Amino acid sequence: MIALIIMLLLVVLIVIGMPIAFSLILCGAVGLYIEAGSGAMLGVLQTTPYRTAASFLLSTVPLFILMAELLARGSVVRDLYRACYLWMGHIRGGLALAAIAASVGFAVLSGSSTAAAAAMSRISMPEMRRYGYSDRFALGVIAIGGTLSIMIPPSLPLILYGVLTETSIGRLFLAGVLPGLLTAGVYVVTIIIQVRRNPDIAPPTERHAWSERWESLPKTWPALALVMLVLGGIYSGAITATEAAAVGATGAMVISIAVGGLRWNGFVEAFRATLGSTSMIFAIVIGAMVFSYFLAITEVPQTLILWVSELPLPNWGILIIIILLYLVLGFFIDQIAIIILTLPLIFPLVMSLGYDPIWFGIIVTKTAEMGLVSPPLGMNVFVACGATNTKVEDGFRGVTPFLFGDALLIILLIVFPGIVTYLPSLM
Amino acid sequence: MNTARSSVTGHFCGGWRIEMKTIKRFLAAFENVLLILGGLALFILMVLVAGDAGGRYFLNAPISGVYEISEFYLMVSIVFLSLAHTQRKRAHVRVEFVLDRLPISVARILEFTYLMSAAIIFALVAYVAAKNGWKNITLNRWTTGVVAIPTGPSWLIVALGTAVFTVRLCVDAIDTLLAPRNGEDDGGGATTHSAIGGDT
Amino acid sequence: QEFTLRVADSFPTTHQYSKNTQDWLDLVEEKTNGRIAFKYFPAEQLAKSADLLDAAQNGLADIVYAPPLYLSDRLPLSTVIALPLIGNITDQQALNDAFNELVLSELNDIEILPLGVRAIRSLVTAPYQVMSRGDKLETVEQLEGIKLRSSGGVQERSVEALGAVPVAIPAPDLYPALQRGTVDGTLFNLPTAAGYKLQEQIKYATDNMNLGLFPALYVINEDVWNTLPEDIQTALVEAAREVIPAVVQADKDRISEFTKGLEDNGGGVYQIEQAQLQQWNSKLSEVRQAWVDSLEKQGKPAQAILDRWSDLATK
Ligand code: NA
Ligand code: NA
Repeated sequence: MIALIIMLLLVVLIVIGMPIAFSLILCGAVGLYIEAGSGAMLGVLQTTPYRTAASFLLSTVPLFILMAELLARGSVVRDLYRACYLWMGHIRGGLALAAIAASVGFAVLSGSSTAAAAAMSRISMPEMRRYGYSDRFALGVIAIGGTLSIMIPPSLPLILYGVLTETSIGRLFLAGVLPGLLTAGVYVVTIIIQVRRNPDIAPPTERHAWSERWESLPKTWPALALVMLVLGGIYSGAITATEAAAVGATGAMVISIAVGGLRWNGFVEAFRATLGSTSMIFAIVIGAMVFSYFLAITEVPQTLILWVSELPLPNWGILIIIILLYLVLGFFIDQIAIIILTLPLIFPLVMSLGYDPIWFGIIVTKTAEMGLVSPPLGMNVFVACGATNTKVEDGFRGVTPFLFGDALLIILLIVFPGIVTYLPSLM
Repeated sequence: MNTARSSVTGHFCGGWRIEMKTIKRFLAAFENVLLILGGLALFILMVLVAGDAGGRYFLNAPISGVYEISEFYLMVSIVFLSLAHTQRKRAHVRVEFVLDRLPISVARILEFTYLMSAAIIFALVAYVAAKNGWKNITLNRWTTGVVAIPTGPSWLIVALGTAVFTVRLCVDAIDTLLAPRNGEDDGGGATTHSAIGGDT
Repeated sequence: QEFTLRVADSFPTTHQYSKNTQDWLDLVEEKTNGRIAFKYFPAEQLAKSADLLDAAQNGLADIVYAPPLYLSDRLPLSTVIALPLIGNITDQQALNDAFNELVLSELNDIEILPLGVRAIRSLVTAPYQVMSRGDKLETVEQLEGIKLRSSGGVQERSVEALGAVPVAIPAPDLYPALQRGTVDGTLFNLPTAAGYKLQEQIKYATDNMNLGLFPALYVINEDVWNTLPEDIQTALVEAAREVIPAVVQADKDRISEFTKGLEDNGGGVYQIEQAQLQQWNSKLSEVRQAWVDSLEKQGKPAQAILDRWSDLATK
């Protein structure tokens, strides 16, 4: 009963605008006080913030964000986008396609979709506006393109999933490759369909000379060198997945300063933005941990799992309920927080239904991608609109067609789990 | 980031003006120092972990103790020393949909409540972290690795970061109440703070 | 029932230690005719491994798993069994009994009870061995400069003392690290390695060394302990000993599974010869000495504990 009241309080507080991190830690602390006394509450408030931050595995969070921030402030990503645009700009909707292609490139380097959306909106939005693309369409492309960063490895949510479920992060990364590329493919198809049906949103641009196109390619070498450094480092065995973040950030810093035109101001800004995002994410993670300890002690998770598992449904029916739950949570709650909040509950249940842990990690990540752009709390849309000074409503309208594409893709991954499990099975 | 736009924060007024101004200036300066230390920790983390990997691969000479130093000191500094600054920028994620549609007076009372209840919780966090840090120092507790590391001071980093965060929450809460009643203000909370803090 | 206690640990429900804990609690309920009942929270539901001890101290839980190697700042003397090449025996039941004796007497008195908790149950893993993805590692010369994963602390010192390069890799990432050759091998115990399916990537492993044991304690809040009648106290401690054979057997099964995996890769388990073992020992003695020195400097009776453990483990 107390658990129910506190959970309701949490939902109400979040909906009426209390910062999510504060809502979680407040409700968790109050609940622990009622259930286990002041000693236990103070005990959790003592150990949880400290232990959550003092984690070597989670050091990848600030480092991958830093890498993206450094890249976004130099010319490395801009050159990458320019090459994509020279080669594809003349096709109808070509600037949007170039933005998706550059997003894939960015996703290979970065595990943070927020940073990806911030970078791409600074770089591709001015170009799309210059050629008369509709704001709504352009924002949708940028916001949805950013979500690729968490499916294509490296990926923050997959790292968290691996840590929480003791699943190999290396395998999870490998499993994300095909679904990630497939996702990019679905976005391309969505763009083409939209442009066909409504040509006004993306006027054609001039065709660029072949000479110009070829000349743009050499300029992408810093980005390619970074990809080689990070992926080559991981897959050759020189560095571990955890170390890749630090190596990538160092590489991004050196390359951006040496050839990417990164100056002192940009350097300082990158660090400041990284610290801001990091403390924001960790505040939510810490709050979610405190709240989950309260939930555990009330035995709600156990009861809920028992209840769901005893529903008179086939295994896939229960799985569908779980996926819908993730999508609904994704409307309101930060994706990282959802993963941490729910996995200790949901993961054992899904395993008891006999599903593959790697596959489920990818499904959870897919729902997280959708949550990043679904209203009312859609981080990528906020970031894209914030960086381009546009209305949030336009952003949400712009991503809607892509959300349908994502939904189709989830169904595809459920029906053909081999798309996910094939690459890791080769390991 | 979706920051709470200025609707519920803003200027301060009356006799409070001078004191609040002084407090805010000191607070912002202090936050900036902590932010620089956090940035330094981030830079060291990046260089240490990359150096450890590189040293191992190229020279067969890894750096000892990277794991422990990263956990106990660098990560703790990165997360906690920037908390207050993040609040100053109003960058803690929230759902604004309902808040934006409430009358401004109601929204302000809500905002005040949010900030003060968070302040109470984080004051407790700061208190227990400080207490435990002090205990670990007086009992002289060290880890037993190749590089032995004292655990007490790292708890004091948590205490420091959350204590300053608590003060920031209180200041913002008072700010919210003292804001003029006539609705929309011109640039509001975050910008006002930045201007005062010098923001570097 | 008269008492209901919250029991918390960090093992996933599929882990043998979690199953063994459930067996222990069931046995206690049975022995006391249900006068005591337990709510069991596995899988870090109430706190992370390193925070479980705090949970018992502050009342979030009553009985918790306390891993000394993760709590080396608070339970330094209890890490004595992680020191290498002491009483070089491979009889796991005997090792468990020996550690249990040390825990219930000296360790409780000197460092556990002062923390406001009391150890009532202990477990030790199978001894750590050297495992390699390539050739057999038989001599100390072969170890020079190769990269071995260690889980930090005393183990890291051992790897370094043997002349190898210690690499810190979180357990879930060990499999890909072995696969890609980030490390040439690892220190690990055979049954736990089987849990991470490392036999798919490992070719050779020793099976006659003791490069240290991983100690596990279950401690109860001392105030809660004092509210329990003596017969329930006795039941808790006795039942803990009685379920040990089951976990030892489970370890044996996993060791066979692991060994079979190595043979499938064209490798297998092997022994280090006595003459070689002398050389390993002369290198590793500095690890034990460093452990004693650093703790004695903090005023802790490390030499006495090491001597006592040597006696118990060779008995
Ligand atoms: Na990525
Ligand atoms: Na959303």
